[in-house]
Amino acid sequence: MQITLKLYAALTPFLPAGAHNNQLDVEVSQGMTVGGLLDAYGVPRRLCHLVMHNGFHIPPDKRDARVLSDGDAVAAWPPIAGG
Amino acid sequence: MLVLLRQFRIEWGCPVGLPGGEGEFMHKSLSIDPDKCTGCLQCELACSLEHEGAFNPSKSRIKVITFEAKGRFVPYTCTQCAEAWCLEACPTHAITIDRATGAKMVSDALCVGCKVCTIACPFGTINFNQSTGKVIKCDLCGGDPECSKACPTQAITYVDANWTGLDKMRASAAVADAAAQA
Amino acid sequence: MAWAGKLLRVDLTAGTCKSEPLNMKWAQDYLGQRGLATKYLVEEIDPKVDPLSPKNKLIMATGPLTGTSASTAGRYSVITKGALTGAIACSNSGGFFGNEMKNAGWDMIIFEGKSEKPVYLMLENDDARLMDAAEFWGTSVWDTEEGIKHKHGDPMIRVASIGVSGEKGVKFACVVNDMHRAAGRSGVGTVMGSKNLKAVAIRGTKGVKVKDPKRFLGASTAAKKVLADNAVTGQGLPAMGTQVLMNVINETGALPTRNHRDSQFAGANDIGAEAMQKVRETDGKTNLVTNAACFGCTIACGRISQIDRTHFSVLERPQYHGASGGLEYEAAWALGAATGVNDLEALTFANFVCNEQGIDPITFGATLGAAMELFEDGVITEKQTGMSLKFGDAKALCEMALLTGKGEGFGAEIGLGSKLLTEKYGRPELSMGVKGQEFPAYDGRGIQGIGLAYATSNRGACHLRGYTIASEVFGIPVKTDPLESDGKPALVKAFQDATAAVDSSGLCVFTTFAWTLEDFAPQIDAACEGEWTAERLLQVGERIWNLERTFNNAAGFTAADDNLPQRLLKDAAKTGPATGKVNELSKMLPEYYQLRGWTAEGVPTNETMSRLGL
Repeated sequence: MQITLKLYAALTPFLPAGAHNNQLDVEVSQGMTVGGLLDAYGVPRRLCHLVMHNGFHIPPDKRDARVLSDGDAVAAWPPIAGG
Repeated sequence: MLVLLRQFRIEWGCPVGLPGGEGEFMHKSLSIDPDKCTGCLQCELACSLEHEGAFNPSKSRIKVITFEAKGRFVPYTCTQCAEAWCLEACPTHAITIDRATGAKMVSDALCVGCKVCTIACPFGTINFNQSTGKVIKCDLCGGDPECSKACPTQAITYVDANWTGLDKMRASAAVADAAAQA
Repeated sequence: MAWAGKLLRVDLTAGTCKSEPLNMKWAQDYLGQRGLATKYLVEEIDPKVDPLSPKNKLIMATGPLTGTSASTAGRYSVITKGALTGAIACSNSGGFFGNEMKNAGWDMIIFEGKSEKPVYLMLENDDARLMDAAEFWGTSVWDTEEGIKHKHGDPMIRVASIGVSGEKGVKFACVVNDMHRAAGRSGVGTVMGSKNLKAVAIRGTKGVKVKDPKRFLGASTAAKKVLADNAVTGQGLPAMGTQVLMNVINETGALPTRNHRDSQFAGANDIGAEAMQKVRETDGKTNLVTNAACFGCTIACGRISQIDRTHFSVLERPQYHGASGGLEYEAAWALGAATGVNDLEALTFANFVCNEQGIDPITFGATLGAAMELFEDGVITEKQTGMSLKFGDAKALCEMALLTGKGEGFGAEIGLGSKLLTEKYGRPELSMGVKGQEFPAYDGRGIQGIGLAYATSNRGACHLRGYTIASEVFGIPVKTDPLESDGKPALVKAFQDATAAVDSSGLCVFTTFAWTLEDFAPQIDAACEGEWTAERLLQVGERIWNLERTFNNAAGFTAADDNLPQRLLKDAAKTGPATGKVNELSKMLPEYYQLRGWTAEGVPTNETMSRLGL
């Protein structure tokens, strides 16, 4: 199934080749979780402060339980703030 | 209290040598990297507190020069010339060399505020202080420069005077090595 | 100590400048800056006064820590009755001007009356003079600042001034200092212009002292370490700036787009922090030149940008080729998402013009967005606007910034702000704001708490009065669900009270991404007379909030003004996580009043007033 992986700010370097506008559609197997996807692309968990699944915030302790569906989007940021 | 602090610092400052003897002192220099400067003026705050007892950037011995249209911030202060033009020019011999640090020191007792040194200095880093009628310049805080400690980005560091280029050399070496390995 | 202990009173009608001692009793109750100046304003003006009449006053105020070596200690605020809102206004600015005022020996300057002809105040330590500003009237902030330094032969003078917009009565004119730092919101520059006051120029060499220097250095050094060690203030903000939020808030489904018709913008990634650091194909450079700090700031979130010289906006305009203040998130949102424009260079140009002529980019962008909706609905046409004003038109954005900055053509109508503009054309429901001031960059449907913060903000819609985004999106200090309204009234009140105290200290609210009031208190306690604890600071904050509220109530605002536009209350979000959601204000507001100790009509009870010593 296809998932849109989005990595921003200091996580940008972990984007796989071919990414455009900080995102790339990637092929993953059924049952893949949010945490598993980030692991698969070598994004260090300690840097993944803000992780969203289809825009919904997923706290660190729920990332391995949250299973992805075809067409979902996962976005991650290091610690950030602004205003 | 601040004066006392400075005296303490001199005791455990950087000089390595025989007090009052023949030994050679290993001097350190302020090394400035404008690439790292954000223009926050913490150096000026620390310098003025150390020397004036108040937060007063207008009396700082180090100034951050801003080049607005280039987006550049450049801290600038006395480089402690080996042959110091200010020292040579002073008619009252008020400027002497601190053997321990290599800093060119102004004696307030001898300075008459004639400003000839400010004309002689090619860099503009020795300046007249209207409040005291004396000139002021960087004295390296007796070997423990406050500006360097206050800098949040390590744009100002206090390093071996013989090796102010070491960081640049290291960076260049890394580039050269990467090219060689490629 | 820490306070200079005196204020300068400038009577513009009489042309006099007088020194008077600072009311130290009030300083103990209101700390400084926002709180203390509000106390002076409330005591000295009729709340019902026309903001643009000579009877309104304008105060520039520092905090007790302004000018010290505490991190971010360069802030000052402009306090007045706002031209845009008619409510209490307090706009806070960084740069280097605040420090200069303190170093000249002044806690605040109160301007009253109206000068017969344009003047500027020249303040060199104790020497205060009103000078003829004829040569600067009609010129930009940039030219005024350069001109004053040149005229006095002193490049170290710091200047705060208004652009042509403030002279012409554009309702959201700013006071701009150090070329691109601004007391930006609520039309404080418009009030300054109405007094024929073009600029305030200061040179201070007296120095700032604190009560216990040794303890102060210990406390401020420890607090700086907290900022440096924190991933947000130590790494995230200096590297990415506030603009990192563009993609975050878009992903959250709370990026108001095209005048809040939508809440996600397809062009978000073209105008955010990542885009600013992307190498341009045209010149091989990035939009972002460097980050930069305000006075004493060890975070350094500021952006310095340079526009692509091949971009249409600057082809014939070399004066914009140099580096200057770049896009911050709120400005980029307003100039970009709110107007549907995804051209980063055009946004940067419009931002430069906002700085150059002193207009608030948030209200400008939001009002242009409202005008674009009027245009697309056919309510206004090229006959009024002189050009096509369709959503997404980058050329229209640049031209309208130039026109609004000078109050010319249709820019004069944009200069009314969205409330008066949409009322003029019979579509008041298209004004996206509260109490006459436009929303900043977060949609109250997708982030519930900020909706309540907007509705209850004392200066009209504003993110800086209670930045619940910190909790609802970033998880600072704890993560709350942005789509949930339960618990938000207490969150909003806590943020509002703490922020009022921080805004009165001389320090920047951005430190609160790492600091709590427990980090502020030891610094304030070591610097200032009296004993300052976190609890006391929170009470000072609550006192300030209620004082501002009583001013607004006396000015004629009621609970009915603690409201949101129907678009946020009736039209559900169409995409993203907030799909189907509206803001649940009616559920949150009664609980908020109760927590505040206010009546159901939004009036502080006698008990609340006496508890806070009001």
